[in-house]
Amino acid sequence: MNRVSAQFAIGAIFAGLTCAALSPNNAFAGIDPEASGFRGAIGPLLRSDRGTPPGLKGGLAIEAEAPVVWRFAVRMDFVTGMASQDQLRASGPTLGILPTFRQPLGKGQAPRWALDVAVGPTLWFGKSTWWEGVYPGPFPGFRGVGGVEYRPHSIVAIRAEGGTDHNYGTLPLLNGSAHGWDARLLVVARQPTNP
Amino acid sequence: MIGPMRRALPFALLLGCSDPGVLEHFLAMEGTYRDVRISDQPDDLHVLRGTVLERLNFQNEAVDQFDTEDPISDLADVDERDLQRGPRVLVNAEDGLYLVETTRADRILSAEDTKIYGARTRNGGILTLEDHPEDGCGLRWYDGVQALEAAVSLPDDACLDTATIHVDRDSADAFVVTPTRTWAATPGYDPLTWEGGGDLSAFDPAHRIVAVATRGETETRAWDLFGSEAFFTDLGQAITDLDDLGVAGTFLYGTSPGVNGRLVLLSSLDGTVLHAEELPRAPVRVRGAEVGTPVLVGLQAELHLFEYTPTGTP
Repeated sequence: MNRVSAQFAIGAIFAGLTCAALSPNNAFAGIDPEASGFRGAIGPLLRSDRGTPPGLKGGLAIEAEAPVVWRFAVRMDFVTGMASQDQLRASGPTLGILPTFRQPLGKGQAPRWALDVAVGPTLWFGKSTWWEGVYPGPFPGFRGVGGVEYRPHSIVAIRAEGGTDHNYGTLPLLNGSAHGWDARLLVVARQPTNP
Repeated sequence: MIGPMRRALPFALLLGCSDPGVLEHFLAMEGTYRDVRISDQPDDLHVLRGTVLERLNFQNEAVDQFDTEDPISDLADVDERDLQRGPRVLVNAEDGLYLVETTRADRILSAEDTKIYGARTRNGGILTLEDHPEDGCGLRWYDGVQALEAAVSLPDDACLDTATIHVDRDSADAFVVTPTRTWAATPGYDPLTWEGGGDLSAFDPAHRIVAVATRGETETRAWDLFGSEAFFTDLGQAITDLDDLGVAGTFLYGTSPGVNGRLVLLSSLDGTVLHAEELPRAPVRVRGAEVGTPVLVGLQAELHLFEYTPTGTP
């Protein structure tokens, strides 16, 4: 199995887990109030892609999350101006839908820390700065992330996230793909779910 | 795209661009290289990385790979007309002239005490510029089994280290270009020579014209086999590389107008600008395919390919 197939397989496993958990007869049925609730997040990101010379570019990330079941949620991920640092200089927003699993850390009704992982498909609406006519996008791909959240307040939290994204455009993109990693620091607004 | 187009338009108009062709970017490949050539059958590339000669397809996959284990100075020429034998690459090395076929290399001419530069000519033959201690400098035409067919003597200053040679694969007429002087030679006749040259040069087989330029300078000029000037053009930008586009009758120039770069296509007949393509960087290499398309542009650690369609092509 090559790297791309393996990455898609991981996404499929997460999607399968989500579907299984949605079943009414499933032992996981019901929402874990410690882990999930509607939430929105916004914050800056730094992104690196391959390029010569390599470098970092900034952007803005906006996330919205809805609880699904137990500790699973679905996250909509929007990034402004994701840009490749190769000479195609493709740039544009990215939209993703990521099945998410969140694990609270600690005991009690309101644990202050939580970890989460998410993998899911994305679309990159990139256009080459130099040859946009032949690179209309969108380029399909996927994103995988891990995050840690601190909840000093019942509604407001802070979340740090590191992730990697891969998008594919067959031949037009450099070697047929664009891939990089990013780091985000997000301010989170949570729907209170504890009684 | 609007920005680069807007910048390119006045430049094209300034140089009398009246009939621009269409250049469409279709491929970008990552990789470092020392030299690169497009195959005669333009669906793959010959790339030199260190001592390794690779033939890459357009998916950046190595079709053939051969490690010469010796320093190669450059890829002299690519000959793929004999489809039964497959692609063969003529390689200039320190100890001679090699013909590389897929995964084997044959030293076809030794350079133990001779400087040799080679180019492929008709019927699998080879043209060489040789500097012998006794016989002096001269051009030699060999047939397909490396038997000497013809020779022309040249003055010693034609065999400079910076000399380049070009040959018409049909007629076997040849050019030798040095930074200050150019020679044209036909087997069996005294060579013609004239002032003017450069460290960059290319031969257009469609109109049998050689163009020369000096790296870092802005002017380029071209002559036919009789030394008549075909054109003189000042591109107004430092030239970084030069090649021809085979049957398209076009010369390719990589230029550096400032922060970014340009690929400029000139008609080999009169030097008018056919197309000027803005590039994100100054091209390190420009290469054209003998069949008239594609055009390859090397940008530092990337190779970019463009499909060229001359205006008027249905």
